[in-house]
Amino acid sequence: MSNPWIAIGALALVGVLIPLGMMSVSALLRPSVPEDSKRASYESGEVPTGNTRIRFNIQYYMVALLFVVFDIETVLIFPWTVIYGDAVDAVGLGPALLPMVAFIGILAVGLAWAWRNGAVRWIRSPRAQQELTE
Amino acid sequence: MTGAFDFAPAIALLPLAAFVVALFGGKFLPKRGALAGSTALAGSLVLSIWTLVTVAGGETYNADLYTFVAGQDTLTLHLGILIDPLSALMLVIVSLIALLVFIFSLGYMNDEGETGLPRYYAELGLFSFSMLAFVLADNLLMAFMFFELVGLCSYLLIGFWFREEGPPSAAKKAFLVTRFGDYFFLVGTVGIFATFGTGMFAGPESFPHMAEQALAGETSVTTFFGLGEQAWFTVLGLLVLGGVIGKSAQFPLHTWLPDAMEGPTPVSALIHAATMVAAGVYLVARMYGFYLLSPTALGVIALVGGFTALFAASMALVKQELKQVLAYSTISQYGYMMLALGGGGYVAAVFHLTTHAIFKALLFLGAGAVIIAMHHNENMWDMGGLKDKMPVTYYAFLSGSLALAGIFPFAGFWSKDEVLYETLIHGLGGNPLLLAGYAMGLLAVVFTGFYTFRMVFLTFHGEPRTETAEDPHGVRWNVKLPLAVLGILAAVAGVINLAPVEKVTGVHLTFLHDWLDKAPDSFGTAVHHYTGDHGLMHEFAGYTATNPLGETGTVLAGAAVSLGLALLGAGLAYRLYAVPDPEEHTDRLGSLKTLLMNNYYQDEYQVWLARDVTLPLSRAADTFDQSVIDGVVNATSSVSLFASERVRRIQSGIVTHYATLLTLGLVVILVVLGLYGGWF
Amino acid sequence: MAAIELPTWAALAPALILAATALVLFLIDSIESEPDTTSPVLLTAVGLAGALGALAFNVWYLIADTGQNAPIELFGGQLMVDGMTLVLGTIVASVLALVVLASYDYIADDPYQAEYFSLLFLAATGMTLLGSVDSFVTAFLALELSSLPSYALVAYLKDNQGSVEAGLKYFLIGALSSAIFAYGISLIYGATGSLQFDAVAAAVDPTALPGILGVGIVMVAGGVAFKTAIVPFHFWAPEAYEGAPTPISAFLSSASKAAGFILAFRIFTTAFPIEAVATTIDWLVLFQALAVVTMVLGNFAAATQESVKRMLAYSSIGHAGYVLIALAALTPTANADLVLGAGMLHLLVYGFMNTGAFLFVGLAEYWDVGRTFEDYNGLAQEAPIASVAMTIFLFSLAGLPVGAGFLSKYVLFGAAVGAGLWWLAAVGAIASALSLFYYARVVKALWIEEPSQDFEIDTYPVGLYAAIIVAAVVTVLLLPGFGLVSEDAIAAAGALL
Repeated sequence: MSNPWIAIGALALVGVLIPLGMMSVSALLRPSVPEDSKRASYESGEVPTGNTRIRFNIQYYMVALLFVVFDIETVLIFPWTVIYGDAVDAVGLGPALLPMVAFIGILAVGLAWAWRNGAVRWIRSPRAQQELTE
Repeated sequence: MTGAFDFAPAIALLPLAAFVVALFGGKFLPKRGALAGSTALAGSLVLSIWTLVTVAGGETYNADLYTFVAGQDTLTLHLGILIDPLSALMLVIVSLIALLVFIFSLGYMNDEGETGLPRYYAELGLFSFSMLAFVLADNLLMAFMFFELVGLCSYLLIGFWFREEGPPSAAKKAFLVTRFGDYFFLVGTVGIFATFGTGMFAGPESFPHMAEQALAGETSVTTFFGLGEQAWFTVLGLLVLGGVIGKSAQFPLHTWLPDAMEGPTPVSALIHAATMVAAGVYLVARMYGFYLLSPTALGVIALVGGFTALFAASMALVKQELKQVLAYSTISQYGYMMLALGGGGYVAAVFHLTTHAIFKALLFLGAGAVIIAMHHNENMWDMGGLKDKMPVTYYAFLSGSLALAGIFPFAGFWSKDEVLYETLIHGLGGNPLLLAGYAMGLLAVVFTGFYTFRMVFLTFHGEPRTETAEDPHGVRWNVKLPLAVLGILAAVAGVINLAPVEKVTGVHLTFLHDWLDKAPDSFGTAVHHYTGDHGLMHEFAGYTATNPLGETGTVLAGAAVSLGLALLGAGLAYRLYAVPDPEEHTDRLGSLKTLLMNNYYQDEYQVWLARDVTLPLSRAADTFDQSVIDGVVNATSSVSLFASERVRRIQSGIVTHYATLLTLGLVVILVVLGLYGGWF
Repeated sequence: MAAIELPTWAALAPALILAATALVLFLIDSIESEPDTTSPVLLTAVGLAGALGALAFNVWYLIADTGQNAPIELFGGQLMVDGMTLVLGTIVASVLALVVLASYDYIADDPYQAEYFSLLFLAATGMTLLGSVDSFVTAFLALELSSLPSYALVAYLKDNQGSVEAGLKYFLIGALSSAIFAYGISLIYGATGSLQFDAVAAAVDPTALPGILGVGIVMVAGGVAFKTAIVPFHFWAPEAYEGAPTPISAFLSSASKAAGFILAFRIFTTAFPIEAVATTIDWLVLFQALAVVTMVLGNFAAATQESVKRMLAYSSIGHAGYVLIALAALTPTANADLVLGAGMLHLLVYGFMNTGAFLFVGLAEYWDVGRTFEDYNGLAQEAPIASVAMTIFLFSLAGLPVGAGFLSKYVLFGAAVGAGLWWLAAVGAIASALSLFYYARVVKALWIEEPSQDFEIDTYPVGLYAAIIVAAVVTVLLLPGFGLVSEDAIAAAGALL
């Protein structure tokens, strides 16, 4: 019996060889036309302002995080609702309902805390604030 | 049901509590902790007496309290309590004397305005705790631990006046000399544990019992160095005896005790007369069943004891300071006890231990009272005529002296007579070694009579020889009370074992013998088990008693001889010193006096041993240590420091390096294990 | 049998209490009138109540033999409760209680205290759950539940560059390790078709796909090695421990490490018993090698540190090496109960002595004494009681018989010798001897050296002091009480095998 690792090795080899081969082939074939506009960030002609390392407001992540949380919640709740009726028949109301209530309760506590601590408040910009008062 | 034995640990723990109180709160207490100590010791005394009464009711106790190393299939180390008649008696003695010393200290230390009293009382409390715990110990290891603690307290208390020159060096000497003996004790303890797997004193699982069975051929034990069983037991016994000789100040490790008199006098009374020094003898008595298995060990004990009795008494003849005389007499008296133990006189030894504890504590406290009166001048040639100035002290002291000299009917007479009698009859039964011990003991009786009364006459009789002696400092009740109590006891304590009277009159009077015989058979510590007709002494040590003049005749003859000799010594002292203006007759001894005054050059040869023999050896060892051992150690540590530096450099602080190293590490592990496990 | 019949889910009570406490703390923070105004006393009190409640349940269950005769299975075999769960729960809850107590003073002036405590409790929940996982899924979830709050806690001192940097490093290395762990799990699923520990053990087939199984096992080992800071997964530890708020360092180096080890014990005895996988991968060799490297590296690196906290961090790596002996010595000749039990005992004892030592460092930071050995010179004159406690911790860590560290190390090395691995025990003993050197440096600085600075100590923080003293007392008391706990631990180990 042949060693199954041979197949994996061959795959890896092919995976490395194809890009390398394509790059080297194109390097051999293409004409060399050095031109300044090729180095611009956006070839559409837009001139970039500043570099890419800018800070996003933390609020962006907060909202994203809350979105993910509720997304996952939906994923869990959805199948539960589908089988809820059958589940109540099978094990009774309590065992079918209470775990989900507890789950949503925990989420609610988290949401309440996040809300209270300003996670969903709209961005406060110190600069904008400053301009308003002036 | 709670009985006395449930409170037995408290006997030792009460003084420990007093130690803590005095140490931390002594500064704020009235009397600087003396009251706490006295109360605690009074409590201990009450509990001890209760225990004694309970034991008298026929109950005994032998139990583990706390196991700190529980071995599987090997030895277990634990703390436990053994209460049999011997330990119950010893508890009462120790707590009684300690209580009296606490009270006496009120007069000796507090009234004299000493500083550092909380420390003093704390150390005294710790000492009482250690000594009581030592007495309660049910196994050799626990005994050893508290034996050492007792030694430590003794060191602290001797060096109490550490700002002066003498006490610290005396303390150091006491510590080092007793420690020298304790090394042997430690080796012996380890040997006993290795041989028997236990250090229990009493019961079927105890090492004396196992040794006995081994000799009787019923079981076998591991011996070492290819020795036979009896020879090996002798070696073990002699090793433990090393500790005993150090602690009980027997020749040749007695040199620390006279120097220890630099400590406060109540301490001398407590430690160096009645308790700590007794620890050694008590230990031999405690494991007497083991010693009885080895005639050689018994012979050594008897010979050392007899020789020490004579030797120390001869040095006491010429001393000029009150406490020095008492110190040498203490050594001498403990020699008697060892003689008794070696000579098969178990009851006699315990009897002498009891009476000696009483009258020697009395003498030391009396000496303390005299020293207070003399404004801390201890030279007897500066005293004289104190009899009329301090009558209570005088009569108490006289009572103690009569007991010490062994004059009928004081306590010392009975006990010393029994010691000599037991040695004599066993010596006559075919044991010349014991006869030699007996002869030395007998000669020491003369000396004892002489130095005791020389001391009494010089101190109390005649005309005052200095101005301080003309007008001594008064002492208060707290000094007189202990003296009075002990004075009466010294006179009458002999009644507990009037063996000669019993033999002559036939009336049953040997209460101490009965008492010590109360231990249950399962313990194997009862007198009949030791010295009875089928006891170990006959079976294994091969001692037999012979009374050449019939029992009564021998008893009477022995008593008459020892009393006569004591009176001879006392009479000589009377002739020489009971005059208004005694002279120093010691000069007539010529060069002998120099020899005696210098304690036979014992200190000198021990110093020579230490300086000219041991020091070069230790230098050589030191050179070896510094060059070879340290070299290796230093090399190791420089290698480790270098290696550590490398290790430190890996931790560069750059997280990407970490991630790389981590991944590389994982890959290395995978590759190695993969090759090893043959995955590829 | 317990006098009261509880429903089976109540066996998880310790973890549930911790989780509930975390939620209550969030609630408190949500309903306060002004942000960040809740009194620290209330937060500490709630935290302490939760931790002690969990501890009480653990101890009660241990005494009542809950799940110790037969493990209690929950959620279709995803979770289980047995003796080892409870031992770990006890360790975590005890350390947590000490840390909560100490944090009261340590973070007194910092914002976001409610979040701090509640993250602490979430992490503790995860750690407690790690003791009761019975499948790789729950193991991964519990591991993440304990890790994620830890990252945030390490970076809690937002204005302190060291703290933030440590948090980030911890997070990055943690993410890498989680990835390795998850990948390992997937390979094991591929090789055995199962995720539940028992089922994995039953489905292990050394002949089919040995490589995949082997790689999976090594990667899973890597995941737990990260949690327990074993070389080469230890790089985060010195940085994280040094940068984190000191109570958190104590928590991570004691409780988190214990949780990781308990998980390792569980996985490698239940899912990959050595007799089943020995032909594929002899993980005994792996752990023996890692134990030696970890002991040597941890102790050597600790010896050259200047900062006391960093020294403790490395010493905690060294101790991980000692505990790893418990897995490395599970040879066929070994008394397996004793070996594993010894590891658990060392974790328990270590929980107290190491937490105490870190908290003493926290105390020194509270007083602004400084970080290096020299800065501690003469501190004993100012704070004798705490210094006595610190001396106990250090000597106990070194294995001197002032605390239970002596006995646990002794049993551990003794078990290794019993398993025929005397050389492993010898390396451990040599490493311990080396450790005495750097522990003694602290003691010497505290007691013997003359102060090199004027201490400005005007307050003696109650919470920190109480925590240190409790830890010291327990460390010492475990010495005589060792017999009591050792029975439970060895029985718990026995149930596992």
